[in-house]
Amino acid sequence: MILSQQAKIPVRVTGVERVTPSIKTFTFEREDSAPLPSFSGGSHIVVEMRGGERTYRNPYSLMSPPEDYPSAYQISVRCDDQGRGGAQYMHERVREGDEMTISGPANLFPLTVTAPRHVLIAGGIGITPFLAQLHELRQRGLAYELHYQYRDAEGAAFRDRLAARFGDQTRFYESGRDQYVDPTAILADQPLGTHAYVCGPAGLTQAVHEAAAELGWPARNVHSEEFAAPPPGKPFKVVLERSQREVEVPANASALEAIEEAGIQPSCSCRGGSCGQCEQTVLEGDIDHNDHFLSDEAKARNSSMMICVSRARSDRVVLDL
Amino acid sequence: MSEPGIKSKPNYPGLEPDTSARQHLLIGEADGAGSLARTLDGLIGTANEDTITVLYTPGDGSDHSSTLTAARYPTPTISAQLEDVITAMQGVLRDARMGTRMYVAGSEPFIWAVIRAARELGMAEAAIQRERCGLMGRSVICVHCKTTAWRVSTTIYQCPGCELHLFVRDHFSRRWGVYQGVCVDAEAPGEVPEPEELEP
Repeated sequence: MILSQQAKIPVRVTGVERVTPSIKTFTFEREDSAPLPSFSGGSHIVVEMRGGERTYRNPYSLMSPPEDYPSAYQISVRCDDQGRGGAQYMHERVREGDEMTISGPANLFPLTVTAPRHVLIAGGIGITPFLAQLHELRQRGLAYELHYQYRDAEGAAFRDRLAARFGDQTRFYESGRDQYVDPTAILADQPLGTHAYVCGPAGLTQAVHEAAAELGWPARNVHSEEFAAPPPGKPFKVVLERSQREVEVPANASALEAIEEAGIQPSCSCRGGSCGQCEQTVLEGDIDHNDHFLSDEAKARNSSMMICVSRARSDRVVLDL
Repeated sequence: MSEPGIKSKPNYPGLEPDTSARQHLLIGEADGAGSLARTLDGLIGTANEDTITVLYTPGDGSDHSSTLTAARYPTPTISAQLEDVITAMQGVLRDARMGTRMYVAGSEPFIWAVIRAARELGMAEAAIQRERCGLMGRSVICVHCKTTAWRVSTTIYQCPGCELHLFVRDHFSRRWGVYQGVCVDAEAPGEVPEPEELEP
C-alpha cells in the first residue's frame, strides 16, 4: 500500500461514455502511449481538474480490469443535482482528447486474496471498485458473490454487463421497487474464512458492519471503502505554526485545498478521509471530524485532524505544519 | 535470559463467553477443563445448547474430564490425545459458518497446534480465544534441521534431530506455532552455557 504523495501522470482522455443519465465513464491513456502503473482491484486514482474557478482533486476507483502494465485506466463519475464541483466539472467540461493529470494508483480497499470466499455488496456508484475486483477474483479462481443495489433501472450502471459476465454470481436489487440488500440474510450463512466488502452510501456500509458484528463475524473480515466528499461549512482560519502562515478556508473548499492554493503541499493521498495520510496535529481549535480514519476516541481527543475532509467549529485552528 | 523488545511472544488473555457468536467450539487439554467449565457456565442460558460443542483430552497432563461431564453441560467428546481432538475439530469446522467462536484452554504447544489446524479451515485468529494453563514448556523448532521439540523447559537444550545445543529465543512464529532455537555455541564450539529454567 503506497500512501505517500503519488507521482503525477499526464494523460489524455481517450473516451467519454454516458452510461446512464447521471453516470459517465472516462478512459485515460498516457500521452506517449507507454503503459500505466499496474494496480490491484480496489485501487483508486486522484484526478486533478484545473481551469475552473478553482482546482479540484477527487479520488475515483479504477474500474478497468487490473492487469500488468495496463494501457488505459477507466473511472466512472456520478453527477447529481447536488453534485460538488469536481463531479460537475468531469461531466460538463471534460471531453475526449483533453489533457489531464492523474495520480498513480493506491489501494485502500484490497481483496484479502488468501481468503477462499468473497462477498461483495455495492450500492449505486459504489459498484466501481468491484468491477475491477471481479476480474481479479475470477482470474485467481476464488469463490465470490456480488449483491448490487441501485435506485432504478436508469441508474443501474453496468447491470447488463455484470449480468452477462458474472450473472450466475450476482443478485440485483432495485430500491425504487422496494428491493433492498439484506445484509443479515446475506452474511448469516457463509462458510468459515469468508470476507465481506461493502462500497456505497454510508447507511449501507454501516448496516453491513452492524449485521456482521451481530452475527459474530470478526471485524477484520469486513472491509469498506467510502470516500467522503469534503463537505462545505462555515469559513475558518488555519494557522500553520511551523510554516508561519495563515490560510483562510472558504465555505466551499477543504482545509487541504486552501492550504494547497496557498502554495504548500502537505502529504496526502486519497483526499476522501480514508487513508490517514494527511493527518495533522492540532495545537489549538475545535474540530468537526468528517473522516472514516480516526477512531471515535481519537476524534474526541481533538488532537489531530484529517485536513482533506474535516473542518473547524472554532473560528481558528492551529496546526503543527 | 529473556530477550527484551520481542513482540511476537503471544499473550493469553483468557476465555470470555461471546454471546454474539452463532456457534461455540470449546477445546481443552488437561487443566484446561476448569476454564472450559467456567466458559460453559457463562454460555448456558444465553446460547442454545445445540450450538455448543466441547472437545477435551487429558493429553500428557492430568485428567479433569469429570469436570466437564456434569449433567448441566452438553456432552463432551473426550479423546486420548491431541491428534484425536484435532480430527474431531476438523469434523466440526468443515460444516461451520462465519460467526463461529473457538475457546481453547491448555498448554502453549496444545493451543497453537489447535490454532494452526483451525486456521487451515478458515477460522480467523481473531475468533479464537485462548487461555494458557497446565504443563509449561515451549514448542521449539531448530532453525538448522527443522526438528520441533514439543515441551522445552530450559533456555538451552540439545536438539533431538541434529544434536546441536540450541538457545531458545522469545521469537515466536504464529504461522508455525513454535519458538525458534538457534545454535548457542556456533562461535566457540563446545562452550555451552549452563541452561536456566525458561520463563513461562
